[in-house]
Amino acid sequence: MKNLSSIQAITLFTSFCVLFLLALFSLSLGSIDISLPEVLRLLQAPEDSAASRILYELRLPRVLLSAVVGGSLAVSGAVMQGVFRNPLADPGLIGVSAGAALGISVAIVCGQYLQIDPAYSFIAVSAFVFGMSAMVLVYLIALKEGQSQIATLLLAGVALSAFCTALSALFMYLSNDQQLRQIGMMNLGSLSGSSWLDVKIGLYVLLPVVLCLLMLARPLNVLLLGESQARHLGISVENLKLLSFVLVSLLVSVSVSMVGIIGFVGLVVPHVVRILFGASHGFLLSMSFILGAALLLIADTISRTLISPAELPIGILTALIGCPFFIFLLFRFRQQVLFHS
Amino acid sequence: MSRLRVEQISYLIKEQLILKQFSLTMGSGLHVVLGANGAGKSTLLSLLAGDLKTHTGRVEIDDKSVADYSLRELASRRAVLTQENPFGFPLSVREVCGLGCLEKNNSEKLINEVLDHFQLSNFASKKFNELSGGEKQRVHLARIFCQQTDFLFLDEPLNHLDIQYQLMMMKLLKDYASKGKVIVCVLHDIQLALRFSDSISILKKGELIFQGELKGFSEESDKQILSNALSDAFDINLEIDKEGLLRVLV
Repeated sequence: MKNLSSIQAITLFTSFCVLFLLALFSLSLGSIDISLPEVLRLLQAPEDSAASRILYELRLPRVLLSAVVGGSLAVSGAVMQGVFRNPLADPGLIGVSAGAALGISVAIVCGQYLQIDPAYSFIAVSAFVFGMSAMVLVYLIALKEGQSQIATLLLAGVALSAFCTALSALFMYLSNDQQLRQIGMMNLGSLSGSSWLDVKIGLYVLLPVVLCLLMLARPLNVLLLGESQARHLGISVENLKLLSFVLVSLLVSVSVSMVGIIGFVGLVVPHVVRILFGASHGFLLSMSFILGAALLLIADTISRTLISPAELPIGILTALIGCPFFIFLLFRFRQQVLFHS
Repeated sequence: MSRLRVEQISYLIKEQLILKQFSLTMGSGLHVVLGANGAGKSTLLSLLAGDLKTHTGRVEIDDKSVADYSLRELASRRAVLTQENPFGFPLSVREVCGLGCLEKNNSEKLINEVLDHFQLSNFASKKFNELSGGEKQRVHLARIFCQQTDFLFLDEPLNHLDIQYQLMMMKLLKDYASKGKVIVCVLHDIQLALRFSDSISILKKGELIFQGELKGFSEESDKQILSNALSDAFDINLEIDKEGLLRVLV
């Protein structure tokens, strides 16, 4: 973080304050509105009232989880784009998302045959295991003489993702109506079941991993020069790639296991930050976390208030909110091509 | 005193000899490697830099084999400019130069000095991907200088540069070499090599056909040997005239 300029530090601090205000605002909104002063009062002193229970049992875990997951996905995307030096890279590129989605389908459908209640934790563990396994498989496919080729990793990731997607479709075909709806909802993402356990996982697993990735800022900057130049500057490129993949896979598979698949955040948020603030990873990763957190927080607030008491899947909203903004930025800054030599 | 030693190295790709067993010793100074396309110049630089492993023999930087250095140690001993610099993210010129600074101490001061030397101060905050080819090349060279190493291995550092900056670059390299640094540089411009370098090595199809210092090259016979080697390497008739200028005989 010591590489940040004072302007960048001020921008980060201001953005964090805005995120905090957004979170407060989000806490006050819902099928039962709680005024902002009331939210602040209840946060300081919980009480035995309906408003307090709604705040502490439903909204606060959800707001915290959406911020942590949104930030984690955006940081994952920024790291993957840096490692692959490719604008289309997203956290799912090395098969994690498709693998985790397959894990969800397998857990929901097979749980019935194994006579295991496809409870939330079973689905979550399955998503995590399948997501991580997919990443390991992609990496092993691309590994030759201790080195992984970027192009092979990309292609292996695409191929394995397609394979996992096909298998997921097969499981969907085998599922009954209720299972199909459950798989569908998980594939579109939802924060509706957020609990304090999820928040704890978010704070104790996701945040430390994000901090580890922030420490990779300088090596990731050096990697922008190309793999051979990075080696010339003392970076062990293979270790960096492997560490990035493992950390990103952890973030994505844990996130998917808690809230399902939320696309778009990891792909687009880092680009928005690059367009607005530049590509240096120290700032890019930090700002991506805040912006990703804000995007998911806003999307989740809309998803639970727009057609309240029903909910819209959050994956639809992240794309609906983010896409027009991203296209506007691309249009406005089209002279500044993001990646060209 | 920095010293580079190449001992009986050879390099094979698919059982084809790319470099045929030879030895070299280079002390501080500007050393230019010349040769036709495919002669093995870039392979030699990659071996010197420790990117490739020799089939036989060894490369030593200050009496220690490059294979025995860790990546981090090597980075503090030698800087490398490759021909391919795939780079398109919008980092600023100052940020790119900063990537070369291995030490945090006084890095800002160093970057400012190097930017000034390379006439890049006005571009400092400009995005790298908005620069022309020649400007990008100067930024890469500035980054190499920011690394502050005793050994520089440069593969065609004058690529994309116009004549004004080619001369500026050769003067900067000469000046840097005079501070006790070892610079090994692959060039295509023989004229500039003759004018600025301390020694010349000529490769032909992986064989070292000439190696010598230019300091004592005043005798006609010496010039004849060099021009013969150059003619042989490039397969054309060349001669070096009394002023030391190269002439192509058509």
